[in-house]
Amino acid sequence: MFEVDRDALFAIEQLNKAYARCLDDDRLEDWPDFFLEDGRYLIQSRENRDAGLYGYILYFENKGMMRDRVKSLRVANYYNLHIDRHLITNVDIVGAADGVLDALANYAVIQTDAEGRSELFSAGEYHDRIVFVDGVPRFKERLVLLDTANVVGLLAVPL
Amino acid sequence: MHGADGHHDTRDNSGGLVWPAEGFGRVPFELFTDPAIHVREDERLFRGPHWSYLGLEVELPNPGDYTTGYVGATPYILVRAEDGGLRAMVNRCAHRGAEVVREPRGNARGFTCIYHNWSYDREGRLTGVPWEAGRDGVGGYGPGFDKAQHRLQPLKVAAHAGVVFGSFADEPPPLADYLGPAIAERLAAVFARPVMVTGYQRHTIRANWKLLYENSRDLYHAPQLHKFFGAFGIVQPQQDARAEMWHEGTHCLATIWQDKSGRKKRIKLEEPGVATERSSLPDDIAISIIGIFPNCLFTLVGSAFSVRQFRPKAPDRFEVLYTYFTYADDPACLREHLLQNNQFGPAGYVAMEDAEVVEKLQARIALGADKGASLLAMDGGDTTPDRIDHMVTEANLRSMWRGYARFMGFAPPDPRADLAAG
Ligand SMILES: [Fe+2]
Repeated sequence: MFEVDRDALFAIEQLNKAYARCLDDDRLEDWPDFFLEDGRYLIQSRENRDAGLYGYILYFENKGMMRDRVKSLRVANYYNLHIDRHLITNVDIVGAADGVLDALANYAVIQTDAEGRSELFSAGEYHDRIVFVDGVPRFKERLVLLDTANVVGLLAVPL
Repeated sequence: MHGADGHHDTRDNSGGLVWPAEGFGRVPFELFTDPAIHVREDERLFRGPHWSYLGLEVELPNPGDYTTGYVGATPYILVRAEDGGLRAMVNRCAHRGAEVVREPRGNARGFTCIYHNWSYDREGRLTGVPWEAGRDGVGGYGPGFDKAQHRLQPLKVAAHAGVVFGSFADEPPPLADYLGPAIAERLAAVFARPVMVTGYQRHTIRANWKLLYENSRDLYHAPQLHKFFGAFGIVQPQQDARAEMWHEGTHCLATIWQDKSGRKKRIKLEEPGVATERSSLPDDIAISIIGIFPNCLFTLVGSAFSVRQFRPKAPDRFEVLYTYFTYADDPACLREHLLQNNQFGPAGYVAMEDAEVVEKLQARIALGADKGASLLAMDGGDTTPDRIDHMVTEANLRSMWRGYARFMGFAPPDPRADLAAG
């Protein structure tokens, strides 16, 4: 049976807290730095994954694509004014091989619009591949697996 | 009836609508908000003498493979039958109206309603009724009961170039005639190579479905609203463009050919593959947007291919099912496809803005603006041509409304009143 390293688990829980706070505080410019330079960020519905399909809502192969996203949101895109609130729970490490930890977490994102109305925007699971660089955990891959496959409105800011 | 503001009541006795005297350069907002219009659309458009998109043949390779979806408000099952042909039927039990199939897609020998276990074969024929002849000598439906009279309601089905359509009409027009030669040829060219489905995406938009259907052919808005292109130095080809309208103006085949001016793109994305120059489309086409009335929209840009099924739910809400596909015979296509798809869908660099714009527009016209109208006067005022060879126009939108009004049975604008209106 796989034995969870308590220090690694604590570090990954801290990583998730920092990730949530970064996005919820609208510090989008800091978001790519949670990833390795060749890290991947993917959003996919459970429906597609279970069918063995791709169907990514966002498909970012490297950190450069994440910086592109942030720049586009800042200077180009027109999207809904809102606040995000990430609730991340059930963080766990489920496997380890060749210096890469496989971790899971549940998430829910509550969105509040410009007139103060809050709604559950998205729920699902993070499937993470994590590498420690100089003792600091970084995402080699973060797959956002959506239960909420039916996106209401639009999805601009990363989950 | 005259309101205090001097506007006429635009309804005639049939429950229809008299188009504003200014012509199709004006589109009454009530078309996007009125529940009676929504009901009338379901009767006249989605269950009328039209063909609606049901799926792609490649989704159903084997007998028993099925998908489900909606034509307007009506849920359907599309299934590959024993003989290799396709059948479509309403996903509503002939007994009490319950849901028969609940999985979005799969493979089945037949279909059984969960409520009283009425079962149907792949043709939609009723094959099993528990206690049909009674139980222990009592009850049952009796000898007069004929299962052949109680099947799942069928739709007519036809396919062109692997694209499957269905119709509730008893005698719909031949599909090729319905599409028109230009769209039929374009679909044949695009589907001349084998394709594979790469995924699905569901999207709910809190607006009237026609606002997005209209937006998809709006060549005026693209460089104005979608700043992604300009911000990253992505020069969109727009010299060589054409919009061809068919089916009384309601279909639109928009084509933008590759830029041959020799202008060099200096894409300032760290990953330029998101907006690459290479196109997988035939005949030097860079972009092809094909709206097939009433529920189908192909977006073919470079290697980012998708077809959308529009599913109206209420006057101010609709859903879209995206089916993404790419060429199966070129592995390089797949990565380009995945990268470029970042432009489309509910999170797309380009498409997110269309969703946002139509939702905010809907919120503005929902109350207090019911006597207002949209203005579509660019490029000819009230003309409704069937072909335009540039992008500086709203005429192809007007053409859509001309056909829509006709199919909805609305009285056309009065040309004499148009002159008087000045
Ligand atoms: Fe657009």
